[in-house]
Amino acid sequence: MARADSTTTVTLNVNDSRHTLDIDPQTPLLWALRDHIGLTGTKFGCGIALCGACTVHVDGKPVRACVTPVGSLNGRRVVTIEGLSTKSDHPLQRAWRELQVPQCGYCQSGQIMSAAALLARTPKPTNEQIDAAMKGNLCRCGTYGKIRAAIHRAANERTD
Amino acid sequence: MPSDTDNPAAGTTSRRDFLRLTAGLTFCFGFPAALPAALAAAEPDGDRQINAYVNIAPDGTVTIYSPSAEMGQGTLSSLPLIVAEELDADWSRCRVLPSPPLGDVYGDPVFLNMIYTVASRSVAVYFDRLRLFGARARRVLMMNAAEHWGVPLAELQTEPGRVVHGASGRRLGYGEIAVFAEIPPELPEIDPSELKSPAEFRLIGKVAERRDMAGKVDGSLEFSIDVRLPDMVYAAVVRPPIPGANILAVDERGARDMPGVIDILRQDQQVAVVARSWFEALNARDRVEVRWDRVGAVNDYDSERAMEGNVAAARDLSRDGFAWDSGGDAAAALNAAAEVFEREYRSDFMYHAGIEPLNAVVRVRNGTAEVWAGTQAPPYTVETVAQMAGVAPDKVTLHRSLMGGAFGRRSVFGMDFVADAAWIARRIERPVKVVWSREDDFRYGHFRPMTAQLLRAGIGDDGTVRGWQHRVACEDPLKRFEPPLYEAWGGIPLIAMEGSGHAAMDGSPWPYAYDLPDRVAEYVAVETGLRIYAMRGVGALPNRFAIEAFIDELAERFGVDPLAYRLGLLHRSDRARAVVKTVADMAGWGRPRDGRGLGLAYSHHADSMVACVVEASVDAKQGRLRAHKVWLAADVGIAIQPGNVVDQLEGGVLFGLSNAMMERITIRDGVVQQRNFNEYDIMRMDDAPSVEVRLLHNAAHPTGVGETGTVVAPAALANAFAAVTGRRLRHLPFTPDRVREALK
Repeated sequence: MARADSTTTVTLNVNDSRHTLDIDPQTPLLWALRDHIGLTGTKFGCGIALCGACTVHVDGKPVRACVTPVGSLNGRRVVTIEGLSTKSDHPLQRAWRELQVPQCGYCQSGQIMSAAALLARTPKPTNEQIDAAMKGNLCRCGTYGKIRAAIHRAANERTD
Repeated sequence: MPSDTDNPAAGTTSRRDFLRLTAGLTFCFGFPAALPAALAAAEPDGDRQINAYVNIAPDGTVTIYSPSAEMGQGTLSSLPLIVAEELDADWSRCRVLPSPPLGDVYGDPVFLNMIYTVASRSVAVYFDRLRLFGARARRVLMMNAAEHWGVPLAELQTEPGRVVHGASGRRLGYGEIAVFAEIPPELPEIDPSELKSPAEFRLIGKVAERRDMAGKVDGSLEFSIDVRLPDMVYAAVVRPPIPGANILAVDERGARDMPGVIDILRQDQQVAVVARSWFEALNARDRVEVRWDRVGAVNDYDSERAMEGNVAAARDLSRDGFAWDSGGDAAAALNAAAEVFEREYRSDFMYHAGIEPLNAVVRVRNGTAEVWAGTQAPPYTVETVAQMAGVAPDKVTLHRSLMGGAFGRRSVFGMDFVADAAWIARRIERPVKVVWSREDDFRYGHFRPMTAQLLRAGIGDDGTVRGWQHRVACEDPLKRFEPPLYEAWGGIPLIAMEGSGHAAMDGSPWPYAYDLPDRVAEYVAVETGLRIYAMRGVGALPNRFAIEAFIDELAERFGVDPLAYRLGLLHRSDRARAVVKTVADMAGWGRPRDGRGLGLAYSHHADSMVACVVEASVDAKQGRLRAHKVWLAADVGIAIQPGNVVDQLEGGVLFGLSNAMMERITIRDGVVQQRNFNEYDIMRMDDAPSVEVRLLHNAAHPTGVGETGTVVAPAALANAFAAVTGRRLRHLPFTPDRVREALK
């Protein structure tokens, strides 16, 4: 494990802002976002990429921030739930609100980020494609049915 | 956990005491008429605190205090809606705050007047009270308007947010009245007949929105894990891996010079690594070596071996149980029966698995403490912080955070997830955030207790059940983990035995329960020393699983359709029969499915009635059981927010199916074997069936919802397996090994 002298300067591009952090490059992006930059919409759930609560986009692809070292992100573009849209008006965010998807709400940032990455590459996903893209995101409240419905709603809205 | 009536027949002193404690309190409104000092003092500029639940600002904004803890079940919306209905408030001008943790004002009488959000009780227990306080606030506003205009009170009406004098056409907004309102020292009495009839409801049953949706889709909503304070530090804590273990030696040398480490502290059996970031604290904690002593038998506890002991205890009829629910003479009926049909059911330990790992933030300064925590039991949280931070309880401010799942875990008396932050904050003299890693959350879990159950039915010559005996070998968590409630209730095994009864605690039959006149449900006490607790559905999940699987086996024994058999046993209640018939219609019961089977289960729970059908298929080679579709019909009385009720029932079903399909904690040498979701998975989207819910609307008093779908789902799945394969699954969860074994 890293020692004190391994701290170095890391520059991150998060939601189109540059952040220069004095940090161990092995630190997972999750903790850089939450504890160093102060973006707490990205959630901690398991720490080993099993629950999806920390899903963010790196160069448009969904990644688990809890296992992504900040040192690997030089020159790459990170988008978190806070940067997904300017006015919380991404079609998925609208659909989520309209269908009242969240219960406790804790996993939903990760759910929405996984769904956004899915729609970016598969604008009209089938149920099977949704399941395959979303099965890495746990929801203990059991909102899966509404998540599926909200993804379909957002997908339809985009092409209408 | 108890609903008002879900308790055993009278028979022992302790149960009579429980009856005396709870009866008459549920509908009593003996709450202080005067404002709690804390609220009156906190009255912001110009706002008027009309009563403990309602505050009105000059601009017409109505603030409603919601007593229950919000953990995703939606009470932060549904409870204020009840107040707003009788207040005749403009809902778009209402804002909601969690109430202060003042038990005398906001507590639940059944739980020693604590605010204690458990057991699917919130709407059921607060409905009458909140209507009354809403109506009282409205009356105060009307009285003030009458005085102001010099007209009789009887000439006034309200429309949303305003008092109206019809004769003169004058109107005054609630905010305008608040500016000059005199609040009478005694709140006006409201006769229940003056409350709205359901047909007059303008908000109840109509407002669909749940609060905080916006913040839950853009990441802005703050949970306690998100709290950041100036100068705050982070801590990761080493705690006893086996409950009660003591530290023999600590070697922290490898951790001290790790990056970011500020201090390493020890208090009692905890070692805390404090660092400038949590990730650094966690890394350094890996370098702390702790040796623990042996506690006793729990060091050798092996859950698989213990299960065999539980089964033996359940089967040993010479071993007396505690008669939780009894009627008639079960023993005589069983002795006289031509045949005794018996089956054994088992359930393993299960883990709450809220997605937000347990955490708390505490700041201690100048003899006061502040705590940010998601808690189902605010009074326990305040007490714990006071004790650990060394300040008086009235010097503790609790910021009641929303919870990223709770499911019972956050009501445990010891408040283990709050205590560490309090003592560390006191010692380090800076605000501290303690976060449990997922591995901590498993290792220090408080699990749903394991059960072994024996069900015995005497079969009469006429092909009916004569005598019913249900023995539940289990450890009830109250004794060790809820001492105040255990004492107050005379030591009854409330969590273990929930769902096993068929009559109210005064012995009167519940019409909506099966008619089993000669019956006994017995608690066979087991002691382990493990950390256990209530988990969504509590004992009703394993108990209803056993009962409903057994009912299906009995129907098969009698050669009757399981639907017809249940309808016969429910002959006393049209409402119960209606939910069973409705779900059968929804599912197309009796219509064969290619390669799939339907399983049915019924339950009363928290005074609600619920029936569930699961359509399932089985992959024999993989040992994989798949639920494709679920239908659920429920009668929960008046639904405050029907859409939310449906969501709770659907989520509850998925929780129950997840428990039934895959959730299993094992313990070896006293230590929890599962460490993260790779070793204990919960239902994922590709396993989630679609769930269709229908509510049977009526004007009955609201009853419990949060756990109602959970307790009925596992048996429906087991019975669907039997419908497909002709074999039975009798051990929760239905792991691939067990499915393959059943098919041999």
